[in-house]
Amino acid sequence: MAKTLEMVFRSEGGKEVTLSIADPKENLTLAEVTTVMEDIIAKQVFESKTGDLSQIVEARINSKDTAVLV
Amino acid sequence: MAVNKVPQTSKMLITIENGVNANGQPVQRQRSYKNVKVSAADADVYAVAQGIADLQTHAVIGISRQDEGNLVNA
Repeated sequence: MAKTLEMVFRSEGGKEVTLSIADPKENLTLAEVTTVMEDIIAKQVFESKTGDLSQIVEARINSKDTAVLV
Repeated sequence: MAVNKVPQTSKMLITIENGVNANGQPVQRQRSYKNVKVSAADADVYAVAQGIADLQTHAVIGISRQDEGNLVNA
């Protein structure tokens, strides 16, 4: 099952910006993810069309299950 | 003739080890994160890449940054 960690930020322009990370570690804690997200906001490394990333919206893990039929 | 380089885009690349191929050789893959600010400091890009790398399962081989700029004849 393919998993993706999605970190959702809000930019200064009010839009949501998602950063996806493939194959996240099992048992990631909220604290670990929050630390990285806060670091991304503090260092302002990424730009978006709607301004700098300014707020954490949420972090979620997306699982994709593909069943091969043929 | 003076040619200037005008920075346009920058992205962060994380090279990871992603399993082995049929011959048992390790397979390298690059994960890229675009929309890096041209003005971002290398140290900051490195720190953030390291943080992102720590959240995923694969072994990290290297972190790099790719800048692209237009050449303008001034």
